[in-house]
Amino acid sequence: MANFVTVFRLAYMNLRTQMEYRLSFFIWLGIKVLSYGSEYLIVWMVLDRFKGIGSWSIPEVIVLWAILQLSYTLAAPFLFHSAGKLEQHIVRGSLDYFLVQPIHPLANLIARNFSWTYSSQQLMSAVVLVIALNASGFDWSLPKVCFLLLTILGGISFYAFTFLFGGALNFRMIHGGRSIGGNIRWLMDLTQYPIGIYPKQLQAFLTFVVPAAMINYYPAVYLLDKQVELFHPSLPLISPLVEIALGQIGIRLFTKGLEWYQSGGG
Amino acid sequence: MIEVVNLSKTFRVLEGKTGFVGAVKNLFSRDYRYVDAVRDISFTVKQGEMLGLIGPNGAGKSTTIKMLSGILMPTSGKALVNGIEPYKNRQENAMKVSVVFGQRTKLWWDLPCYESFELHRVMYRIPEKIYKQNLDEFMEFLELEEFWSRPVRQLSLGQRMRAEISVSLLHNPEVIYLDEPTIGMDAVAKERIRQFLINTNKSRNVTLIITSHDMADIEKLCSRVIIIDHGQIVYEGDFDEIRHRYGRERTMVVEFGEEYPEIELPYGTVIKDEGLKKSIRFLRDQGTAIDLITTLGKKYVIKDVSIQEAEIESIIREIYEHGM
Repeated sequence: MANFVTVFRLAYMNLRTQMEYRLSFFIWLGIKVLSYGSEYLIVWMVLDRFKGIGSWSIPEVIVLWAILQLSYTLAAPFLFHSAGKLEQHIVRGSLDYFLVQPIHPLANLIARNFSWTYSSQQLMSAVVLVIALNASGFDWSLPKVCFLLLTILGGISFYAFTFLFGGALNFRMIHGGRSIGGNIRWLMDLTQYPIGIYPKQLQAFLTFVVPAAMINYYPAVYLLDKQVELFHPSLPLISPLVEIALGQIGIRLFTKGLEWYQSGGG
Repeated sequence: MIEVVNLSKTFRVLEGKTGFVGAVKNLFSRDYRYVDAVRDISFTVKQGEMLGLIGPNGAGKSTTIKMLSGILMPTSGKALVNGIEPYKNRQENAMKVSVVFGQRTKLWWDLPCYESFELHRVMYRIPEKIYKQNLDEFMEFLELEEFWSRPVRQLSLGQRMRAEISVSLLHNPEVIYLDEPTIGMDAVAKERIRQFLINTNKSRNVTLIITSHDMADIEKLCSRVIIIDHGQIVYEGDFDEIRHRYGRERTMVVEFGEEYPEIELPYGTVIKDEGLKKSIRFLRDQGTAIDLITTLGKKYVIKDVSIQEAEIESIIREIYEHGM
């Protein structure tokens, strides 16, 4: 509990720091509203030209896309700046202070670098998801709503894994881990469409090698009662759990990586 | 109580090839070199002791402090700080110790000073009463009031260090590690920090482990020193013993009653001649100061005498350069 209070305090101080540079804060907020707003508009306009993709209707494809976006915009404020800062801290040796404070270095890093400028995108993604789910005839029953929440949590965990994995590598390689953890947009480009339209090999890659399709595609098969061919019928239900487990593995890797930390010269 | 047993740390360092061709080669084949920063050191520190860790640059002082404070994992050996291995139990250890790095800050750069104190209170779960009591004491002694609401980035180095040390003591740590705490400060600011540390050590019985390049810091603060060189302990003991064992050179300043263009010495040499006042340097093993002055007194009129021991700074420099 005390750790939570500390994390909130750190996040609050971080917000105060960001607000010290008021103009920069509002410019960022504005840029993000514009860039994400236009992205939504483009996807909507492109999909509007088609009847759907494969056996997926337009609202169903948008559900896939909105799950991806919502998980990303919920994970990004915690992870995006932290990834960049972590590399700096490792290079400069300033991670030292995080290791002599009574709070997990990861919680410390994330709370200090929490970004408050994603709130508009979170709201937009959530609204689009609800509208698209309704248009797809989603059954708002308790089990399905719970599974939806679990799906979002799974998505956040997957992004957290990529960040933590990159972070753990950073301890070893100093530079470069961030590029592995940070550049996951290419995966989102692939998984924003139903992966059933891709060749089997690519489907297998997105399921078993880099399980990005488990963020949205497999859970959506269950959520929207889709009848599609799968590698295994249990995949839709276990997907969020796999992603959550990945997040846990990420935390372990990061903690293990701390042992490699060499600090700076004294 | 701190116990260090056969502690070692080896770093893996990339052996960079020079030039552009070298940089390209580096991409494909890498040669690593292993550097023993700390080699098999053992020592103990009692509760309430003030210990100085000194040594030339790259000797292994900071690496030792970083292992003791839990930042770095040792390659082999063990350190026990109040019964726990700090690098294995970081959070538990953090509640009982504090670290101050002269060249880095734990204060929030863009926020008013008091925000960092408030964060520390929350982070270390400091009871309100203790927080207030400590804060009042530090406010008074280190005059934090004058910059309390100013953003940290606007503070002078001395002010920042006053805040840094105060915030580090808020949770009543049992051990404080100070890595170059007075670096870059002017003489007045240094003295103020030293005095505060001495008082804190006395009133709270807190253990202080200090590294510094400023010998005056170590001499004024520490009852015992450990000299580290090439990752190994080359000396452990107090300053008087260093002086006694290694400070072989002494200087006697003699003020004569009359002008003597040449004086005959039983041993030693005149290193400075200012007319009536002459400085004579001699080695301890050549003879005593009393013998020298008695011999001179028989031949010349002497008005005043003073003896200067070798500066600890120069003794240490001698040890760094030529070994023990």
